[in-house]
Amino acid sequence: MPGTHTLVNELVTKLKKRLVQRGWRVHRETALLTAELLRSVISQLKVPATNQAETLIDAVKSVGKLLVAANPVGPPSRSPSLHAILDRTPDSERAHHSSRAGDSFEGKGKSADRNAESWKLKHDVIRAVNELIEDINSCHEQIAEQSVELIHQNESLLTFGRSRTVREFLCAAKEKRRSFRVFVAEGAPKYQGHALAKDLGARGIQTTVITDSAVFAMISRVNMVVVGVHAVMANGGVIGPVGLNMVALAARKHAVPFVVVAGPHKLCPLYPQNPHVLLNEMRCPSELLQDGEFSDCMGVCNGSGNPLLNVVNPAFDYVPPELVSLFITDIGGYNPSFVHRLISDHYSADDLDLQKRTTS
Amino acid sequence: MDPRRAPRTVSDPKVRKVGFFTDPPDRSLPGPPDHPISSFPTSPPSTVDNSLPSAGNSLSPVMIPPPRHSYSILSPLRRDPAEFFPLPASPTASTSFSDDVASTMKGRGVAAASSSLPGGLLFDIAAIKSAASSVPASGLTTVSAVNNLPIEKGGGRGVLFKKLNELRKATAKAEDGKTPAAASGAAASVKSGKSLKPPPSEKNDSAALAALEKKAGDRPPEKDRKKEFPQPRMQFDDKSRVEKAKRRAVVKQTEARNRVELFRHLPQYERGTQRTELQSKFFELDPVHPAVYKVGLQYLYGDICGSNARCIAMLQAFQEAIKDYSTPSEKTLARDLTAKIGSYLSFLIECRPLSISMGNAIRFLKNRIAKLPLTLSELEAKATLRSDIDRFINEKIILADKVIVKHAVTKISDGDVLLTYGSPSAVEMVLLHAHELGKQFRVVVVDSRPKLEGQLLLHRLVGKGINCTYTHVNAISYIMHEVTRVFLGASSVLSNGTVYSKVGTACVAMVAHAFRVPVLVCCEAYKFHERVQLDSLCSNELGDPDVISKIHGREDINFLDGSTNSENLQLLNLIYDATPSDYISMIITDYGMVPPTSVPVIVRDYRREHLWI
Repeated sequence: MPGTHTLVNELVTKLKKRLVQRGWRVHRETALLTAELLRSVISQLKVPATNQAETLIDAVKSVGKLLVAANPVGPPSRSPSLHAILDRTPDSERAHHSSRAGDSFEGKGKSADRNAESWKLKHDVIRAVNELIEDINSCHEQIAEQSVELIHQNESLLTFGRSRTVREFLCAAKEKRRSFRVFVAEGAPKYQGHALAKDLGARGIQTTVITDSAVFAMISRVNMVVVGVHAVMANGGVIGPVGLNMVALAARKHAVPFVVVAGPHKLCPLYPQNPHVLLNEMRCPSELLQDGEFSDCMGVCNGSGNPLLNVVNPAFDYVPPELVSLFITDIGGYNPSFVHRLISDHYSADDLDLQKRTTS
Repeated sequence: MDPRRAPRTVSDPKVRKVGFFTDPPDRSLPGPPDHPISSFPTSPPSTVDNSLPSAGNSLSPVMIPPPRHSYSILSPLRRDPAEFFPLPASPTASTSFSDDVASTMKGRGVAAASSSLPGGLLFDIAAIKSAASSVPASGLTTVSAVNNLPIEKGGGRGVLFKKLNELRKATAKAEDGKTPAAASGAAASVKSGKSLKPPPSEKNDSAALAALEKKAGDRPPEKDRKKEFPQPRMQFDDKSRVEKAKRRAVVKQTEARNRVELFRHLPQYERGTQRTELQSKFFELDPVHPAVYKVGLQYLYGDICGSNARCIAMLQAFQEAIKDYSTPSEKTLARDLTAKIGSYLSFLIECRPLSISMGNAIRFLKNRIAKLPLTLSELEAKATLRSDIDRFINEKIILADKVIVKHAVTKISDGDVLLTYGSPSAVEMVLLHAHELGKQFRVVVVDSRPKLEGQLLLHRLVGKGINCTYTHVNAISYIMHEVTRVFLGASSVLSNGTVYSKVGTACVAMVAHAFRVPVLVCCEAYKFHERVQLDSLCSNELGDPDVISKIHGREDINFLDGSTNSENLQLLNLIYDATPSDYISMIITDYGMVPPTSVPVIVRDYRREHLWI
């Protein structure tokens, strides 16, 4: 157990410091790390003879609570993957538990059997976690295979910010010799769009970088908008990089399809309530204003002592389901209204209380 | 006579052509093969009527009559744009049309002399004008249009008057008719041919055609109205025209290497070479007055931004130039001065394409020059012009702003949260005035790359003690739920109610509309224009693409360093965009607070008397 504590603390620290958010694989990294952590927790867990399933569930839940507490404000980047893992394992555990419940009264004397069974339970759970890891690793290929059905010839696409899923999506279409060009909106304040554009250009796709303010101007000449998101909520709405709602509104105005590509680790069983505030995160204002130029303004206060200058720099944006045309997942394309069924495949309703945010 | 044709006294033949001229091979209508125009002075109206349909479809509808009158050499003026810049998009009829013009004109060698004609024309036709005013508007068309239209009122004489009137309009309009385009300052193009963007585009043609058809109603002011119809601007994808324009350009500009396909019709040059070119050529640019040169450099370096500021700077530079101007011997002031202004304009356009407000100001100036009484001495004329410019700046910009502020503060109440985008001068005045009046409100300043103009506004507002919130354009969905009103500025408002302003305004207006927040646009009436535009791409301005890759203040982000020249990757820096009128609740102008649908009314009926055009 001490070994697992160290591991858990490591991941918690990483999440708190947002160290996992570098590079292309933000969500995948988080999901994979969480899954691997749980796998090691489970494997090292000493399961008692009775109520083994519950022990496992409790252990997993406690780890989950720690992880959620580490990143309390932002379910987007993390909790979807967490929940996926946490809740799928309790599912398999429950199945075993219910079947074992009947036997436990009969087989009290068979300690040897029970040891074997407990080992089998852990083994099954770990196998389920491995399957989950496999899914996360391979979702990009399966999503990319569907790009050929959506992109034909001489198309213009618009994307926003940076997403590895979108990159794989577009490159798969390029390999199938579809001719298209891509407009990439840079996605302030992180400007991830620049990185995506450079990558796409290096792979031979005609790319143009535009500023976010030019999205409305360009969208009239675009055939489709393809974006990757942080999280897909249970009602079909999405949490994405800030500015995505503007793009979705512009696409709706010009009747351009707004396609969201998302792997299974993005699914989140939450229904968004006041998503702009509750499912959001504020970033550092110095990304927008350099202190040096505004030092004279920063300290100015009005009569009641409130500062005159506020800088607002949200990190995420919520797009309601009516603006989304299609979800492309590894198991196919779906309407926003179908997302709740997908979520019920992955999650069991009993485990949603993990979301109770611990206001520490 | 076909009653449908009666009202169509279209001034611009090319406009008519688009509606009526199909492929030359499709000449299904019968008609005499020889040029009807040559028969005009002699043929009675009836025959002309019959020949019109065919003339409309003939390959060379614009047949300039043999030079038996002095006016004949004036007719090329009207078709100057056609000659120099044949339509790229409608090669069949229009280019044949213009080719003919070109051939006839070249035959007379008039092309180069166009710059000196206009002034002279005015004086020649001035006397006739009074006589011609009795000619109904249907006669006021260019020669080619004359072909189409029934010359029901007096055959030969009508034709003569038509031509003269058309030329009169052409001279006054040829200069200014082309300026009012956002990304083009074609005023000079006709005359000096140095500009890069005059000529016709199909889109404008058909729009103009429809617009002009409706004007059939009132007659007398119609001829004036027609000449204000904006000439379509030069499209950069026509290679031959671009080549010709380049040869005449004052400053050599190298085209940007990596151009976005969608914007081939707009100019894009390497900014670095522009500056060095201009600086090196300073001593060769004799005709450019130092004040104009200074303003041009300020445009090039981006020191002056905002349509009001640019317009005022340009007009004041012209005031200086007029002060130092002296008429060379054997030339008339009006003619020569207009030519000089034209050359200055072409220089300014090479620094930065004219904004619509500047185009309107130029039209006003040229109109004033043209209307100078002949009896004035040179000193008096110059003084009159300078005082006219002062009056224009005063009344149309400064006083207009005061009126706008007075109207707009009535829309601000205590507890309001006002959102503004970028740094519009009119809105800034409104906010400061409302603050002085003691209203309690908060301001949200939304900003965007690459210019980050909102920071300047933020400085000024916080300096005055206004409670401000600063954010970037991506966050408007987040911030809009607490905003009560949106105030936007405009570079221009077009006749279909579209607001043409800095890129990103459309996004702000759209999100505000989605959140049911009223959007108010503050715009002086001199910025209105007859042009129409549906989207942001047909006419725009392309800025320096390199600023996109460099992010001010965030040196850690440099993904795009060095990749601006890779062949698959392009950077696009749009300057303007067009906001559809359904997102705008109200436009606050010096004529009052009007809905976007009233803009063409103001443009047509009110500007005439107030702008003295």
